[in-house]
Amino acid sequence: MKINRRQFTLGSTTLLLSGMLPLKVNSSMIENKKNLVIIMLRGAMDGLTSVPYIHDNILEKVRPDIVVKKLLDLNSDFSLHPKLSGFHKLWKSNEASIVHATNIPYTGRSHFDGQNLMESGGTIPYKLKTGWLGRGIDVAGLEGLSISLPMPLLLRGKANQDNFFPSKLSMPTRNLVDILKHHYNDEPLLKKSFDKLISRPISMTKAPNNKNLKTLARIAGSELKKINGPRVAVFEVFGFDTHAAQGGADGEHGQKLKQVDYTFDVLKKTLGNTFKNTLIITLTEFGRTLVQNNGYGTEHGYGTSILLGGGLVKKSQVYADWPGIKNKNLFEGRDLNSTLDARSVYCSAMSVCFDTDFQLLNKEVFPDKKLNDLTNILFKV
Amino acid sequence: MNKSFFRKVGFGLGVDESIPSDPLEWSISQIEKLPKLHWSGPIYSLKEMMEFHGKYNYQDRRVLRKKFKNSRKDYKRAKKLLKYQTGHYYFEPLWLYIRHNEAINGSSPVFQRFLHFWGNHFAIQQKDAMYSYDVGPYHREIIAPAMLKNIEDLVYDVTISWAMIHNLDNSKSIGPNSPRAFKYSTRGKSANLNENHGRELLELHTVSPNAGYTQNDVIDMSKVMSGWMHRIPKMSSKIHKREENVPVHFIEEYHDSGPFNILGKKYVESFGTKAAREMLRKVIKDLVKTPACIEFISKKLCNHFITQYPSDEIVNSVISAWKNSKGDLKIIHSEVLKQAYKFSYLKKFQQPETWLLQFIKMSGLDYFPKDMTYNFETMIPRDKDRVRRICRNLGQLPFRPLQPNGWSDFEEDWLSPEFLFRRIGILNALKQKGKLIHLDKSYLDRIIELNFDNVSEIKTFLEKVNNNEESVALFSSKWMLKT
Repeated sequence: MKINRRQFTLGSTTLLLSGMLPLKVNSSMIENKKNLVIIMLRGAMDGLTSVPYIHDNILEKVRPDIVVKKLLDLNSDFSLHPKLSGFHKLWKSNEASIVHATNIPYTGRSHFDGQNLMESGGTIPYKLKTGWLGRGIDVAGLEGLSISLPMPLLLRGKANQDNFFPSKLSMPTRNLVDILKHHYNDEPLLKKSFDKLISRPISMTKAPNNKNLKTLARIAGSELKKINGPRVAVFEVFGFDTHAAQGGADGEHGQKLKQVDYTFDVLKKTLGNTFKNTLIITLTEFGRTLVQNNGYGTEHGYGTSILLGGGLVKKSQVYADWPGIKNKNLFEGRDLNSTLDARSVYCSAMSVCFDTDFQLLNKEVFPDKKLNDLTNILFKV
Repeated sequence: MNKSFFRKVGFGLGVDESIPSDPLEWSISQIEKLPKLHWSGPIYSLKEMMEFHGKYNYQDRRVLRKKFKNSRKDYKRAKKLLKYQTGHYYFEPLWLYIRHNEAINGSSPVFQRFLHFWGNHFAIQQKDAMYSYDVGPYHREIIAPAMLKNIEDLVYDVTISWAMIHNLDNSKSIGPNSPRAFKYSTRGKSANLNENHGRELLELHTVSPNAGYTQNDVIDMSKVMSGWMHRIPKMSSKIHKREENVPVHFIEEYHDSGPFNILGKKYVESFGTKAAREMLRKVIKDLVKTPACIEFISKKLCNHFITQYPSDEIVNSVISAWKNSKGDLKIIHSEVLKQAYKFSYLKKFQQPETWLLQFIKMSGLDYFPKDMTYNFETMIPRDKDRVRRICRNLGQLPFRPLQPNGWSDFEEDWLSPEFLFRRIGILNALKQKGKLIHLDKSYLDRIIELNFDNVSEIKTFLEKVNNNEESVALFSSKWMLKT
C-alpha cells in the first residue's frame, strides 16, 4: 500500500504497547499469552460507511454523492467498505466480526468530550483521570509500556506505565542521572516519569528512527509476538471527522479506513501463529449522521460500528440489535441509534485477553453500570 | 521578589537584561500596544501566503494531476518541484523562527505569551498544509491586533478569518432556508448545513459545553454562520486559479435568515444583506457575555499562566475584570498578570515550546540561522529547518495541533517518561555538540541570580554535578520545568 507521507507525520498515528509479562515465564504462560490491540479512530468513524446497511436503498437516497459502491459482501443485511479488503479476508476465515449500532454512552456530539469518554470509560467528561484500559491493566496486575510520545488517557492507570518513541537522543552521564533522580524526589509526577525512564532496558534505545504506520505496526507485531513482550498495543488514527469530502470508496473516510485495514493486515502478517491469541478492536467517539451535507460529508452523530479481528474472535458475524435507519428509527431524527453500550464489548475483550473475571473488571473499570457480558458471544473463551 | 514571574508570564530574563524594578508594570506595559516586529529577515503577509497556498493547490489539483495522470513517478517529481516553488517546506520554519525571535529577542515577551495562548485557543488543526502557509500570518495579522480590542472583536475577527472558515469547513455550509437551498430543491437536490464551525464556535471558542447548549443551538448557530465563505461571488463554474484560497465574503444567497434560537435567546433578522451580515456579530456579542463563556476562558487563562488548578479566588478576579470592563482584553490580560504576580509561588509545568524558549532566552544559545532567505528552487537547507526538528523532537509543533482544541495545558498530557527524556536528551545533545560551552560558572550564576529566588539552593545543587553538565542539570531541574 502506498503511504501518504502527510498522513503519517509524527503524532498523526501513534502506537502504544502495554502490559509486559513478568520475565520468568513457563510453558503454560506462553500458551496462554493473549494480546489485545486497540485502534483508536479519532474524529468519529462513520459506522454506516465502514459497514453499510444494504436494505431498501436508503443510503443511496440520503447520501447520493458519497454512498460507497463496489461493497464487499458480509451477509444479507450488511456489506463492507471496499478499503477494508484485508479485514474482509479475516472475515472469510472466521477471524473478524462486527458489532453494529453501538456507542459509548454519550450523545453530546462533541469530539473532545466524546474522546475523553471513549478513553476514560466514564459518563461525565473529564471526571475520570485514568483510562479504562489502564484500569484494566491494573486489575490484571500487569505493568505497562507504551510506544508514543504522549501517554494517552486510555492507558493511564495507577500503575507506573512507561512510554517510549524512537529518537536519536541519549541520556546524560550516570552522575547527573543519579543527581536528578534524587532531585525530583519531592515532585511525584516528575519522579515517577524519571524513575521509569532510567529503568529502561538497553534494547529500548535501539528502535529504528522511523515513525510511519508501517514501521509502528511491525514493531507492535514483533513485540506482541515475544513471550515476555507486551500484551497490549494501542494505535491512534486521526482524521475521521469528514464534514467535507468524505467521498465514496476513494474519499477521505475511505483513505482512513484503508489505514485501519492496513493495521489489521500488517499485524496478521507479523504476528504469524500468535495471531490466534490476539484480539484487535476499534474504538471511536461516536458515529456520523445518516444524511450527507453539502460538502459531500457528514455531521457528528451517535451510533457507529466496532471492527473486531484476530484469532480470539468467535466467528464471523455482525452482532447488533439493529434499530433500523428509517426516519422513525433514528436517534433525534438524524443518527443511527445505539442499542448496545460499547463498553460491554471492551470489558468483555479485556476479560478474555487478561484472563480476568468479567464481573470484577466491570466493577473496577466501569463501576457506573452493569454491562452485558459478551465474552461467550463474541470471543473464543 | 518572585523572579519566577518573569518566566510565568514571559520567557525569563537574558543575561544582558536587568531585573525590572516594577515587574508588574514591566509586564502590563507590554500588553497595551501592538509590539513592533523585531524580526529583520524575510516575512510575507497573509495575502501573499494565500497566493502561495492557492498556487500550490491549483497547480497540484488542476494541472499536475491531469498532466501526469499516467505516470506517478513524473507526478511526484513535478509535485516536489511545485513544493519548492511555493515554499511548502520553507514557510513553517520561517514562521517558527519569527515566532521564537519575537519571544526571545522582541521587546514584548509578555505580549507574545498571550499571543501563543490565543493562537492555541483558536487553534488551526493540522489540515490542508495550513501550517506550511497560513497559520503564522494568521496569528500575526488576525489574532495579535485583535488582542488589543474587546473579546467580542477577537472572537469575531477569528471566526470570519480565512484560516478558521477554511479549517472548520464553513464554506461547505448552506442554510436550509437560503435562496441557494431553494435553487437546489427546484433541481431535486437537498442543501444542508455544515455544523463543524458553528459547533466549535460554541464549544471551543466561547461558551464550552458547560453552557449546556443543545443540538438545536448548534444548528441555529450554524444557520447564523451560513453565508460566510471563501468563495468568489458569482464565480459560477469557472475554476478560480487560487482554488479556495480567496478572501472570506458574506454571500447572502447561502445564508439562512432564521429566526434563530441560541442558548434561550431568540434572534430575528431584519430584511436586507446588512442585517444578515450583522447577525453573526450580534450573536457573538451575546455569547461572550454569558457566564459560561466568561468562566471558561478566564479559567483557561489562569490555568495557562498561573497554575493547573487555579483557586476560585484567582479565577473570580479575572471574571470580575472581564465583567467590569465588558470584555476589554487589555483589562482582562492585565488582571491575569496581577494574579500571576500575586500567586507567582504557585507552580505550573511548562509546555515543551515554552520551556524551550525559556531555555534559549536564559542560556543565550546560538539558535537562529544567520539568514532565512530561500531560493524557492531546492530543498530548504538543514540549518534553516532546525527549529522544526527541535519542536518535533519535543512533541509540539505549535502550528499543527492534531485537533481543533489545540495543545493541552495539563501536566498529565506532557509529563511522561519519553517527554521528559526529550527535554533532557536535547540538552545533552547540545552539550555534546559544544553548544553550551559558553555556560561557564559565572554565566550560570548570572542566569540563576536573574531568574530564580532560591539562588543558594540551586548553586548547592549544581555543585554536586560533574563532567561540565551543570547547564544540563539547571535546565532539567524541577525549578525550570515547573514555573
